[in-house]
Amino acid sequence: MTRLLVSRLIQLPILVLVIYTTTFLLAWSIPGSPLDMADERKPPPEVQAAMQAQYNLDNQWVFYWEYLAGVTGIHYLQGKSEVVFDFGPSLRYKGWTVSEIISGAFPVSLQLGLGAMLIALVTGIGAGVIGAVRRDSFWDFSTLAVALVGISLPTFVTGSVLLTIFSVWLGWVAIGWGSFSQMILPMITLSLPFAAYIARLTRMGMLDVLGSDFVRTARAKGLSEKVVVTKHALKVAFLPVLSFLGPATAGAITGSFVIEKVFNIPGMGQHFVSAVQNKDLFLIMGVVILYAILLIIFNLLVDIAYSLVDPRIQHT
Amino acid sequence: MIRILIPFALLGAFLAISIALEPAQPRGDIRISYTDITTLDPQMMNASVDIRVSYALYEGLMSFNPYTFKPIPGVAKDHPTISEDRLTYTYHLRKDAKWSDGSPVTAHDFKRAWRLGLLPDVAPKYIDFLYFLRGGKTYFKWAARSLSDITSLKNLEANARKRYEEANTLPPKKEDKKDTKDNKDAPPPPPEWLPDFVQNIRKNYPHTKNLDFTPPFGFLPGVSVKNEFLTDDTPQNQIARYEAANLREDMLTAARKILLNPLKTEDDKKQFLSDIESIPSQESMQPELLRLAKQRVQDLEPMFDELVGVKVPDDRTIVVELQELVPFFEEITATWVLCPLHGPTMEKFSRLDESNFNFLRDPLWTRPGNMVSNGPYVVTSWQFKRFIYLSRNPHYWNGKAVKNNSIKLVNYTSPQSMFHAFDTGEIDVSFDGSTIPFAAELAQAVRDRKRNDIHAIDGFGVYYYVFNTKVKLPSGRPNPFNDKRVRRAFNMVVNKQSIVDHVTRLGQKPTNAWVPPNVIDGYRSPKGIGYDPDQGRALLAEAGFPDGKGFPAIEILYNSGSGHGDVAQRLQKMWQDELKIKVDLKELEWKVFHPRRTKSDFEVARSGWFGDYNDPQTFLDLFKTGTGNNDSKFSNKEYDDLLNQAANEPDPEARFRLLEKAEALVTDDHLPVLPLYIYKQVFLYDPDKLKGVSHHPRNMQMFHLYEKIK
Repeated sequence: MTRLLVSRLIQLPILVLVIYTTTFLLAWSIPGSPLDMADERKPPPEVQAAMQAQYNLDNQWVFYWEYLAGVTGIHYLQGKSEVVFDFGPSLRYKGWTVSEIISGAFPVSLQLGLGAMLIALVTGIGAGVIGAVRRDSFWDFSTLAVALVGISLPTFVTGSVLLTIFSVWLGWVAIGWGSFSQMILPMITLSLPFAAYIARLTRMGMLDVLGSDFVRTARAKGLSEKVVVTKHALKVAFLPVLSFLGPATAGAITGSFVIEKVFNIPGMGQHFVSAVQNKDLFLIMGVVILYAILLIIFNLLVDIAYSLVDPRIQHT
Repeated sequence: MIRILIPFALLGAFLAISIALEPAQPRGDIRISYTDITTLDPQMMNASVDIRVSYALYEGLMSFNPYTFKPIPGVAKDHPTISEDRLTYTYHLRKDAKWSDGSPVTAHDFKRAWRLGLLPDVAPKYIDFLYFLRGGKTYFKWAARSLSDITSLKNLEANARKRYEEANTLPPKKEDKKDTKDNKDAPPPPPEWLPDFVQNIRKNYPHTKNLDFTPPFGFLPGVSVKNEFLTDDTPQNQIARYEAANLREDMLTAARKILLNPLKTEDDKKQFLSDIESIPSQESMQPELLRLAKQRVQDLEPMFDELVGVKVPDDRTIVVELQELVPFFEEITATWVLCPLHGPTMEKFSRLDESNFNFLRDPLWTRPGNMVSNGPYVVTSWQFKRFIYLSRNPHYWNGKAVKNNSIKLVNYTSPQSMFHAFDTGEIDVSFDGSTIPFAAELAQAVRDRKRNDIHAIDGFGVYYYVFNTKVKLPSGRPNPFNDKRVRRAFNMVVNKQSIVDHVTRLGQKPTNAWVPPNVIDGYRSPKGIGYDPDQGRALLAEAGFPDGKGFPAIEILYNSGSGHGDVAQRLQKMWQDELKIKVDLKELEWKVFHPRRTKSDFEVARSGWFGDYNDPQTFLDLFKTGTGNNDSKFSNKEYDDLLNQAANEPDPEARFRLLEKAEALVTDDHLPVLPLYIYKQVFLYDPDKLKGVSHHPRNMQMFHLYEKIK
């Protein structure tokens, strides 16, 4: 366990560095200048030169190392920066640093994502277990059908339908973000594909496990069906769900562009898209680094959870 | 089982707590939607969304009546007194004008703001408004040159290596001469501020009378104008400026060796290589560079007084001299670019960046709590991409004219959700109705009298296509659009009415003029050439392409989004059908499209232009030889002469006649563009619930005049 942790924590900076370098190369290859916004005015060449120098845009390798030094806290140690992890300024939104933008948007996406995952887990596992235990019944078919729809329907369709019904027609919830009632619809929308996938994983896992020897033993011991299913079978059937949870949660909490657009939520997803459109280099690097770190951490958490749930798994 | 449930319980608890901690949001008297506000620093603004907010926060010497777009006294207590030659404007400030912290607004606040706005370090986009001040551009040039003198010392080694590499690898430059036959590409004109500047300097400093003033020349930090080296900018002069600034001996020696080496012979190169090694290290140069940079910062104010015609005889008087006749200058002093900035705040947030020597102001000054403003409102809350909350400024001198207590600007990233929010009463006003995908259907609903809360209003802008008028295309092949008969033909076969009726469908007015008609009082746009396909075909035949025979396939360049593709397709069809030529479409992302259009790497490209001030010049300048936004590279001596004559014509009537003549050259004769229609802006608001929204084409909105109808 300790070895797992140590080796992963050593891998983390290397992985992030690789991702940083790749993102950097890709972001620099986006055509156009980050200082050339979609408006019809061009600042004088002297101004452009001063700005290029200001943000190290005149030399990409200077940018690469300077940004790396800022992000890793080297600038802070040298006294060049007042914040420890300096993600730089946004080139589009002058006056906002990338850290500020992320710290405003990330909590929103975190709430939305965690809420959605909670809903997805509860409904997905529930539906999966029912489907497996009552195999080929009406419940099985209907949960499978719902799951299929959940996976197939894009979120902008489900989101728009829910929004039209509950906000526009019924007028129950205002569009936006803030109160609990405003969070329910986007959480449900975001949870649908995850719930569907979890339901299918759980059902398959359960079907496998319910036919295995140790379940037969448990039943033979005279345990009630409830205990057999929840305590013995589910624990094993849950494993594939667990490995899905890592990347899924990381994805869910870093925001969804589509859902944010439909429900007008000030989350992270929009920045992944608009930062690239604006060639806002600092913001691109910031959000990608954050996503990479989260992904690695969640995968690590899943590995830890694995060894807790299933002691047979030995990490070397 | 319990163990499995624990994470879920923790997750749920975390969610509940974080939701409970979400602060309640204030609602605001009037709620207005916005899509993207990039800055609240008035000098940095250039999008109309931002600019609208600037008028809520700031007030210039003059202000606007939003319904007539006439300048009215703002911080100044009356209209300015204008000198006989119309070059000097004197403003008297009102006593009761106050900043939101209670301190009085003085003439110094304006002068300071204009000085800061002219620095290249700050990078204002609308700096041309400040160039109207006498010497404004000279000051900017000085500030830029004095900065580059320092940075070129810092980068001495890197630049030297680059130069050495180029000298070794590149063949001697011959490419420069390639385009000389292309006489439509006129050489860059001498800077228009030069004669004035030279005259001034010669008058004030007799010892400079024998100096050569061929641009570009340099200035040096630390050297006041009294003993300045005002010569053209050769390396010798750069060295001379360093000498005058008492640059440290080792750096001066290195700069001499590097900058003065011509790199012609092999010996030069050998010497150069060994000299590069002798350049002092970055660390050792830093203190000296910092000294120069600090000196430059100290010089910023005295140099402004020296070079720029803005005088402050007392706290409540400001005398502005103009570089040239600017008949609309009163309006310019009402704009966001010339609004005052609060001294102590600027001082607190300005600093010298020690790594690249820019004199920056920390954008944090625009945050709630930091920003001190002098308009009807102050910013009390700004949550990025969520909302901006403006509250009544208790110290605003004209407080009784403010009809509401607060404005909440709410962010909507998608036009659909903005529309839903408007429909459900979440917002009171939106100015972004034209971005709604079904805007045309909404406009139809208004015409059918099914709704009354959608307002399509003519803007002060033209949607147009621009022709490349150069002799040759960048690919090297001859450009058919170099012939004005071809451009006229391409104009005549376009049925603009059918485009606005069937493609854009917001009720836009087709236009053959270039300056939007009926906006500027007393100015009459020429008729232009209308829809006449027969005449068009005849012209194309006259140009040597009867029935389109021999005409090369052309490409329409446009940027993605906003329905540009639909218009381009319609044009493609009209040109193909009427002129029998082959037309291709090329859609590009803005970031790729824009540089290509700027470099004139196109045959026909989509474009649009909104006027910056209420004068034909803001449109006509676009076709002046060598101006930055002249994408067609149109160059016509008669046209330039007319504009220059107009610039020196003190009588407004006569000036308008000259400008009308110039416009006629564009719209009736040469046609470097295909004007299609006047932009429509679509506002959403219910006239039964809200009053005060202006329908003037300039889209000037004064939020403090908005009032809810109870």
